Amino acid sequence: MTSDVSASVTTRAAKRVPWAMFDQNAVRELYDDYAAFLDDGDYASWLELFDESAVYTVTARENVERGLPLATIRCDSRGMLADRIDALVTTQFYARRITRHVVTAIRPVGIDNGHLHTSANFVLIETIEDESTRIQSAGTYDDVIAMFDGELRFVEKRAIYDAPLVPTSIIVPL
Amino acid sequence: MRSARRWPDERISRVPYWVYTDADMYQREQERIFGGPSWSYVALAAEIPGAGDFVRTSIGEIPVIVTRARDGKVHVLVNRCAHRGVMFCHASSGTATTFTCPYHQWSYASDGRLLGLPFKKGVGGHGGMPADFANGEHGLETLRVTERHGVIFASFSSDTPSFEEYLGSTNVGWFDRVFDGRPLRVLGYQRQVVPANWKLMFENIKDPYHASLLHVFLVTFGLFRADNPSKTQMDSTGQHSVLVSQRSEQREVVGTTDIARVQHDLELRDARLLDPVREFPGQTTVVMQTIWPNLIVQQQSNTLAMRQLVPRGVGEFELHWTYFGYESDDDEMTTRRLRQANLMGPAGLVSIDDSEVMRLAQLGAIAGNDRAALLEMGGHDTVDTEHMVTEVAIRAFYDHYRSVMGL
Repeated sequence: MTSDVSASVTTRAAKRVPWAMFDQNAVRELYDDYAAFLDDGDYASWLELFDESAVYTVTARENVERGLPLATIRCDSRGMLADRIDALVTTQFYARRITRHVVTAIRPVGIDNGHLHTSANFVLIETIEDESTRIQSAGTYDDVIAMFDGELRFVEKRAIYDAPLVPTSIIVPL
Repeated sequence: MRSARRWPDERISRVPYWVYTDADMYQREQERIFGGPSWSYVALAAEIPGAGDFVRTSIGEIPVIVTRARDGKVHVLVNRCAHRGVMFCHASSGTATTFTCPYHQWSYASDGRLLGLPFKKGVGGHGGMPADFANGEHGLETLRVTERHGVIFASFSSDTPSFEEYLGSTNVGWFDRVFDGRPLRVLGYQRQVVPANWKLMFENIKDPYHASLLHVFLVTFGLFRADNPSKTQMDSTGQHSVLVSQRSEQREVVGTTDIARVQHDLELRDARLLDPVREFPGQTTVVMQTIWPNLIVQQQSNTLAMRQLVPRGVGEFELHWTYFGYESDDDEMTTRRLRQANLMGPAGLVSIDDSEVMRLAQLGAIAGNDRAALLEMGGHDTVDTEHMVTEVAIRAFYDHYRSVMGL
């Protein structure tokens, strides 16, 4: 075997399934709120989009492809995610910035036990004070969504960013 | 070569800002530091466990691949075809018994030997390499390789002493604390590019003074604070150093009034984020070791990582974090390490502060080419200390830097 310089680095997208009992518009609204709350800095509302036991991770695609468990952000509960937001708001030092989360191609890729599995693309566009606008990251969401008291919430959210190299830092969650 | 640049009279208590911005200095660093008598970290042996396994990395700006040959021996090869200089290996890691350049398909063995090239004898009596062309004279450039307890280093120079002599006995002792011979398990990677000169990263880790002030998260939760028992130890040259400290409880004490941003009322909602267990002998819970010229070994509580520095021009560097544990870790310990990794990396609860400050330090340096930074905390000397209110390890670093760079 020789080293394959042309090897593809994209993972294959999962196959679409029917929306079944899930309302496509309601799912779209969940993602729209997700993006809007983050970009508005309304972290309290953003946290409410997760179930209490939700798992949230941000991972470099290279780890996913190599089957390595390390994430760049790993929150094993909404509480841990809230701890992160506390740090973001009160203890961390970083330059002020504006973000735009752009989420597209939301597709249903599985349903089990009343949970909807979705995949989507995201682009995070970031404007740091005094700098020009740049793309902070691009990648995919692999999510699990369920209905709680009539509201859709994330049970799992895995943001996988494509480029191994992060430009400086990930400040605002993906 | 004599430099027109002159170091300030106060010697190592000052660092002129041009060391972070001067392209000629940067070029000299590539030659004398990364290309000189130094051991650069390249990989963990656990990343290339089997015959044919390889990883791609860089020493300074020079791209290299680290390979394991069929006989188990590790080789470090410059990733540049002997023919026309093409960086032939693109995969970041993999398994390959031979490497073939895509341009003219010259192929190489894991030890860098040129195995063959197409049309060597010509086609139909036309062309071909000259009769005196010998494959043996056109292999890949190879580096000296050394390995200690599963950590692989390489050197371009035949003058580099043995790794143990290079690191010095005190720092070998700290190195062996984490790398005690147990097989390692790689947990994964984080990589970031920081718009700052590479030396600022080294200074950051050699500077405990900032850690107790900038890193409010660390201080708030007692992981690192000015009144915790600590020490700074260098080797005899000052090029390597180690910062050692121990965790305390979240509490209010003398000295914290200087830390204006400390959050006494912050409590974790999910305590699993920070539930360190003692795994090394003694009271020490933090050991940050800097090994000239490109490695920081991080042990903060149960998060273990190699931080590899790759300079990318005078005003930018990449930081490659390889997190690891031990083969013998149970699932609980692995999960703990993975959770504590939240502290570090490009989204680290703590290390975000550093990346952001280094960016600003570079902006200040660019704007102050004729000025110098001041390094007088803890005095003017370069001797080991038993506290963290000091910049001694940065002074020692620049003492060595000046001698290597002829400044």
